[in-house]
Amino acid sequence: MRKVISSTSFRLVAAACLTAAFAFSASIPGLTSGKVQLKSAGPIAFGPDGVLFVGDSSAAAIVAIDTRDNKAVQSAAPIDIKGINEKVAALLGTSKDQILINDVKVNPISKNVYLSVSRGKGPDAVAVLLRLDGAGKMSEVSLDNVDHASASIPNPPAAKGEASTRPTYVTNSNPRLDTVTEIAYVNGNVVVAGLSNEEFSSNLRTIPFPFKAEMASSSVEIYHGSHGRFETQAPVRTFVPYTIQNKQYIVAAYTCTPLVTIPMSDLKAGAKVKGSTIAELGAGNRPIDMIAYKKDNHEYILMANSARGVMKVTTDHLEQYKPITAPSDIAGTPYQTVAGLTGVVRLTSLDDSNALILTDSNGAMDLRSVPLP
Amino acid sequence: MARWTCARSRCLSVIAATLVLGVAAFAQGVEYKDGVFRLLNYSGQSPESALAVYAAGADTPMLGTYSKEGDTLVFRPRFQLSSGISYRAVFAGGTLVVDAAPATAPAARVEHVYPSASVLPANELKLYIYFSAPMSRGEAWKHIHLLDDAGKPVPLAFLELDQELWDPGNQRLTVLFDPGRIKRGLVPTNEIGPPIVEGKHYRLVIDRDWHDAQGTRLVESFEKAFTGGPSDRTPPDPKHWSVIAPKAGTEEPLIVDFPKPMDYALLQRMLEVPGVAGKIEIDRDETRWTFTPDGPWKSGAYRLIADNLLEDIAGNHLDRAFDVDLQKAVPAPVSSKTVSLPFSVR
Repeated sequence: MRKVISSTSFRLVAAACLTAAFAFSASIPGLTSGKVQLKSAGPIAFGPDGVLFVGDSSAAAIVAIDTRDNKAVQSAAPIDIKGINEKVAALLGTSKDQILINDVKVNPISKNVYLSVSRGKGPDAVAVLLRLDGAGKMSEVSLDNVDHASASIPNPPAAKGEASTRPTYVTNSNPRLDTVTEIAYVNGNVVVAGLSNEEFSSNLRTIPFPFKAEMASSSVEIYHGSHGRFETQAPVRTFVPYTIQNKQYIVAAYTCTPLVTIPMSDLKAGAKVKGSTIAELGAGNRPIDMIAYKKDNHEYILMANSARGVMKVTTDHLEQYKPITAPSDIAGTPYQTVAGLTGVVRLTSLDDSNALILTDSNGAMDLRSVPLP
Repeated sequence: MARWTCARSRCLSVIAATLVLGVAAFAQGVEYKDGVFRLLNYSGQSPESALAVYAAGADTPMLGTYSKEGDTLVFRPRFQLSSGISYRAVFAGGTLVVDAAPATAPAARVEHVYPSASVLPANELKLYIYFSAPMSRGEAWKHIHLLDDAGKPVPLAFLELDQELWDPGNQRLTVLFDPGRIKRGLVPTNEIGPPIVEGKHYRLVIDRDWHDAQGTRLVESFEKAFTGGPSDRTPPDPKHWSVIAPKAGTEEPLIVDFPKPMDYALLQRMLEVPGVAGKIEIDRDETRWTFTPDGPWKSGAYRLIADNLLEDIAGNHLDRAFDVDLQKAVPAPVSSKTVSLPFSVR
């Protein structure tokens, strides 16, 4: 007979079980207790009260998990972890080339860092959520018995007929998949950006939270009007919630590079929405992550890019900027590249004064906090 | 230090035999069996200090759970051991090294890249790369190369999303050309132009260093040569499709010929004959769709239904061009999500 004995990991499990034992009904409306089985863990985002949203593209779902990590901390301890990918790999019992760190976010209440990770890179990869606390200790977020809820991302049906010319190695399962590229919680809604691996669609979904069983996500089609002449569907690559004159917007970067504002009030089911261009970022660039912050009574967006480093965009009085509507119009929102921040592959807010960056230098990945510029 | 090499399936016998021979190791030894580490004659210390398992050269022990079975400390790793990696089970009496089964020989290859045509429009939107076996995520952009006729890489041709657009089985990757270079009027298009230029010759090269899901390189590299054609900004018009109806009482296919190649993946699920089950075939460089019924056609009126989201290879939908020039044509309001093409079987 197995006897459970004391260990760090066992204490965690025991604590979780104890919590669950007293939590017949979840403390957050709409969540139920039980085991969460993620098929994949992609972009993550924090909502209210320590709820973590996980984009599970493989399951075509957004999963809300109550982390119960809600002990408030005002400011975060400095973070400087060299070789974070090696440390994650060690914890997961594999090599660094067999893990992917898919996203990094900070719980705004506890300032603990959460990593969304794949152990393995194939279709059987295991989705893992890790938590890094203020003392630098990394542990797995147990999903065995947590308060959670799931909202599905509707996926069009599989092929109508059986394509006999389909290569024999392709199974009859539906090959179509929406890949979530960004999620965020905005005023009671989870906003989901993603791309289909088949039709070129530009759907942006909003899902009210708490999730309701009968509530399907509503999606809008996002269009880009280039200089008032060419209109195209424009998938959103990444975005950040932003308030302009007490009105809720998202500032979004399209896959085709322009930076735009979109009022949340426009995101109504079935709508066709055209973002208002506030900056064009130029060729060869791929926005990765954005955060919004205030410093010295000014407003900024900090944006990590694939090719153009980390940009600091001044966003004071965004309502006064005339949208870019002509090729010769170079007004737009002023931005500058922040010196010294190279190889940034993930960027998120740590606290009011610091950002957290994940950098990659030829496969060596570091996680460190940097003062907001 | 004792070292036992064990393929996962044969590990037990190898280790057991060694333990029998090594009395000291047996007295205070560790064994690995069926994915579980066991420290025999355990007593006293905390489990973590009595036994910890490390992957490769790591200095942080791997996650797992401890339990006590009699006087044996059992460590169950949170995850299966990864192939090709050496694990060290460190205990008071020494270290047991377990080499998980090495990666297998190369088996995966690129089967096909769609579109199949050898001329692709300058505003080609996407490619589908089909592999013969599941692949690894996270390294696509290092291994897909678009080379010009001088063999030089075409820079920044693709939308290099770190969330790669795979199918659920990791056997098909969808590659989008950078939309910023295809859409007209954008800075990237104006600065560096489209990735494909009409009249120029290109080679799409997929190098063999891409790893399959087992961590093994491809069997061989893959190349697809093509020539740039004119941009196509015209929505496919079903009125120009040739629909050849079958004869009643036969299992002849319904044949639809398109004047230009269509999107391979979408052809499989965006055309249908309601009420008739059958098999779809797509050939002639995705310009022909044939539908063979499971049983003989009955005479009567049928409809071929096409979803408006069906695209050609430049991303033009049936009801809308990929990028619409609003000074020339305002998109008509969409009244239906499908187009119906009637045909008669006699």
